[in-house]
Amino acid sequence: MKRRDFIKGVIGLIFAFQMSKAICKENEKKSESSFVMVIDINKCIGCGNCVIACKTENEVPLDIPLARTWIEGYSVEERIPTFESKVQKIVMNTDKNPFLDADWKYPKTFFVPKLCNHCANAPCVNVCPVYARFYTKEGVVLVDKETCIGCKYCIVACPYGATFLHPEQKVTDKCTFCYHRIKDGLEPACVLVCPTGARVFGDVNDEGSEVHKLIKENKVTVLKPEEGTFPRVLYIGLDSYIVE
Amino acid sequence: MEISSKNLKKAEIAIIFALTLLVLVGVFGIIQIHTKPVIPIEPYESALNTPWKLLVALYVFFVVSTTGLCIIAALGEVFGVRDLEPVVKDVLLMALVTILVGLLTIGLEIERVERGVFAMLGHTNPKSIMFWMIMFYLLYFIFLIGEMWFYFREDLILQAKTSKGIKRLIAKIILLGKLNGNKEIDKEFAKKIGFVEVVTAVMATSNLGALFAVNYLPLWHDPLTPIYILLTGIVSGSALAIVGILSVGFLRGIDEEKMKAIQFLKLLLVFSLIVMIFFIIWRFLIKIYPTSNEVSILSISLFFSKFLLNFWFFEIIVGIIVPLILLVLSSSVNRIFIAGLFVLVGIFVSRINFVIGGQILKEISGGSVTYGIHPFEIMAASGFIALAILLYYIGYKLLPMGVKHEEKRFY
Repeated sequence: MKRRDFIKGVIGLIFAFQMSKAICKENEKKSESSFVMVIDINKCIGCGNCVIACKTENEVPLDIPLARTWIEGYSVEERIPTFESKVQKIVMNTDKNPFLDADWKYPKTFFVPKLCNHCANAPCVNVCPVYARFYTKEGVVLVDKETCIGCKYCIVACPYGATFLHPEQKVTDKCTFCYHRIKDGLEPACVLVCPTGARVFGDVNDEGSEVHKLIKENKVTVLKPEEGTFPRVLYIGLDSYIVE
Repeated sequence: MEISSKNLKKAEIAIIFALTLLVLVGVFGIIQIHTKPVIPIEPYESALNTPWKLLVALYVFFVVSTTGLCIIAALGEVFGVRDLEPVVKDVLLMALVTILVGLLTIGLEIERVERGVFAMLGHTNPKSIMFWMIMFYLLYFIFLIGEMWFYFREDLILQAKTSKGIKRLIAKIILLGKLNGNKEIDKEFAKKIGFVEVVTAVMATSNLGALFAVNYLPLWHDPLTPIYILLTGIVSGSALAIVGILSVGFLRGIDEEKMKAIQFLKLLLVFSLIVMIFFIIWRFLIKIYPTSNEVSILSISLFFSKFLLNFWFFEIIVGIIVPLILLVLSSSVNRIFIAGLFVLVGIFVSRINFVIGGQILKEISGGSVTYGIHPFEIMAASGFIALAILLYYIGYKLLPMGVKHEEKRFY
């Protein structure tokens, strides 16, 4: 065999190997689960069960004003829906219902549960200097608490304010979609305790799943689409001109 | 303007005592920050509060100043600006002190800094600008030490041979016991390292600017931010050099050569301040131009509301206008010194405005971001500033800063 043929053969083999690897990866990707959470604003009653369940499940102290998921209450004077509508907003504590307050005066009221959006293009993952934030193969964004150095860059970079510094662990913390539960086939704590079924969690690639059905049948929106983060938390019935 | 030696000694002791006390106050502040959560993060949306506060602003102040000082030293040493040669040593010492204290500030601000060492060895994210910034500053620090070693070697050998006590010991330790060397080779090495070092410093500081600029926050998100930070580095570097050199000069007298350097630094400061004015005007004008979006205009409104005093009084009047008037209208040493001090105050406040102000503009769901500097942070920051002055003083005492060329007969 001539040297030139040998080199050609080796290059051909490397190319074929790389191609087959890429095809395998593509197939693997297609068969993977892709987790999302769908939140129906029309169903949320602002009871706060999800906040307490989340804190209990994930060792976030109950007595501090920090949580992996929280509820925002909105009251809007909406004659003509515009960006200039008068809006009252409160981040709800579980023991305080603003709707019983006399100052809460505008006619249109609703709740918006919020949590980490598990962005497909997550700013927190991009900025972390030590790879303490990473994607799982299902698309969940996790924090490696053993590696986090507590520089707080992720808190600055997150457009949703979903990350905080755990006061006891001294590392950043956020929603993990209860990854320790979902990998065993269980639901996240907040989904489990929601009395109205406002939060639905599942694999969007599974055609039989409820989230697949909800996304197919409803108009869903995400928070701050202009940021280009591609969130995995999708909302039904969200007035995006009010809620950012 | 020299002071008698007795009074000088008394003044020195008083200053050292005050600085040490301030450093202890700083240690107390840092311990308090880390043992008690002084960052009240409320309500649920943690980012409604500013996660980066005074110490990050102080870090930015120190590390950006060190770049300015490094550029000034390189002008004198590498790029052959003769007027600056007599102050290269002073400026290098200041650069070393500022990078040391800067790294210490951020090291003690980060919650779990001990993990950084292991993380950096293998668990790093090359996509992260913060990672590159840390790498470049560490490299810069190493190059600076290398450059200083070669630059000071000639005088250190002289010190090791002529001085007694701790000065002799220090010189011997730094020289690693070797009391001979080649002057020409040393100079050449120092020059080469100095060139690489200034490139590294510029890269590190532009990375620092980019670290802020990549976030979609109206005050930060601007491709010019890294360049702006670099420019302010030259401003704060030259102001710091003026204040540092003249402070020593007031106590020990200042020779003509150094006065020439001060005049050059004055020119550099005036020029960079004028460029900075244009930078500020255009950054802001573009944001409030009628075609700008609401978010951009928001960044301006901050400086007419919460940051009115900080911006207009401290950053603009104290930091730019008054020093410019002082520098342009007079060449008196005292006025140059005061102008330098004013610029430093202005630049320090501008760091606070930039770091904290940028985060305040992070509007989440219509909520207003709260901010406030905790007394413990002020204590820690005063400690770091005092430490920087103390280290400069110690460095000046122990290193061969005042060796004149004609004295180098032992070499």
